[in-house]
Amino acid sequence: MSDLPAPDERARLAAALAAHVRVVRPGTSANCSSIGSVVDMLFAGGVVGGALFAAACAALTADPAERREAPDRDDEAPGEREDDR
Amino acid sequence: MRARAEPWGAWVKLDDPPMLVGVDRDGARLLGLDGGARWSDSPPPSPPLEAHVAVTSRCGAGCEGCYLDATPDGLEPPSAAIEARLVAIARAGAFTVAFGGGEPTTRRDLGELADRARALGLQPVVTTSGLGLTAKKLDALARFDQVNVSYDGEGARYAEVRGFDAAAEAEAAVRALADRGVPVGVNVVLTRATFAHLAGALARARALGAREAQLLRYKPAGRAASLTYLDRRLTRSQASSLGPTLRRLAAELPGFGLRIDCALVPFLSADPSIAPGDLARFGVFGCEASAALVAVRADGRLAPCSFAPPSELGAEALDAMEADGHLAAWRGPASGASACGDCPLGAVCRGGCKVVARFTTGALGPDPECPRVVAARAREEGA
Repeated sequence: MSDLPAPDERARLAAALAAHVRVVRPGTSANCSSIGSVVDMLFAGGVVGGALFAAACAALTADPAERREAPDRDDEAPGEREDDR
Repeated sequence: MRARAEPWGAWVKLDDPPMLVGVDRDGARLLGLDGGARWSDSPPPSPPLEAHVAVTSRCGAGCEGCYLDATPDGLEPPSAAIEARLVAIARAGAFTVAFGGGEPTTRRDLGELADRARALGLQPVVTTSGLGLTAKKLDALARFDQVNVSYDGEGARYAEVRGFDAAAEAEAAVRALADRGVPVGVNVVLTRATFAHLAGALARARALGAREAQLLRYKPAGRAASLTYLDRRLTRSQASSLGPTLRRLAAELPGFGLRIDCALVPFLSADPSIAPGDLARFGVFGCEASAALVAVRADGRLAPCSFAPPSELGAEALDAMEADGHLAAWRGPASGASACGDCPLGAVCRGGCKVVARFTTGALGPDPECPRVVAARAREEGA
């Protein structure tokens, strides 16, 4: 996605995405020792879960995606180039 | 947002609201993403989503159960070494780097390392004891996207886990970070002594300004890899009650984030009201050692997770981790477990905590403390 879509187009895209979002893993884990997952959603009921997925669809249309490629020995990570530093 | 193709579609990392979203291939195409080699018939291996980097093994706290056996004179790698590890993690395609130790705030360059990680496209987060924080150290912590403070409860509860009472200092750290507007959570280690007091610990953390709590299973690694582990681990009854306990806490603390670590997932198998599909939909991760997760020891060696023994492979060779035998042995789900074969949580749980299994049985699973495994073994012994 190279350009930010117009609002109407964003709404259409979000609706289209709804059938294709498989996983929404909310939050930011800041633990350094084991991988953590939010679980309060498990007990919040379907309405809250549905809202989370809807929020994800809307957010997916909000910014162009910066693609992270599969590892390639010739690729440089963002900021790895001298002129990024 | 950042996106990474996977054989099944793509992961998309969003910053606002913060979430990791998995979309199928058609969804990825709607976002303009092309899976390239990852969507081929023989896709390359998926790199970790998250790397846990021990930026030091130096720490003066002396917690009885420290999983790294950190000491005041522990190894503190130079900045350039940490930077090289961050570059390797970014090149591999990970999204998040969690700094730990040892005590990360012992490093004078901590803030600069956070900035460096961000410049490389990684989301930097950090865990701290919160002990000995100065204004300068708070400045460094404020440069992370989230800070988690180790906090097991008030006074005696804290001392029961760590061997000394520094709860007030950890509480002051939570408040100071929250007052500065830094997203802050608490890491709470669950032992049989603290489990009954969990609600109080979380309520206190929330009152201090913490946004969420990360509940951690006590694990037999580092200084905790001793017989005392058997006295400190959760009782069978406590393990089986994790699901109802979480449900009650979620009701009592609305708006406060509840997280569990990978090692606690098998305990949810005792709660039939938890829908396995929901665990997958909400991205709950069980054992992701050497898979979605990799750890980097202070000496630079890669490990399946922070609690597992390291490989001889250095972090700079992260893109070759798939071929490393030690890392591969920890990657798969636990095999040979009759209790796991028909477990509805199996695909998420992946056999439970291999660190616990290795310590108590000598094998990499299944998790011998999982309620289903305990029940299956009791049936086998009774047959």
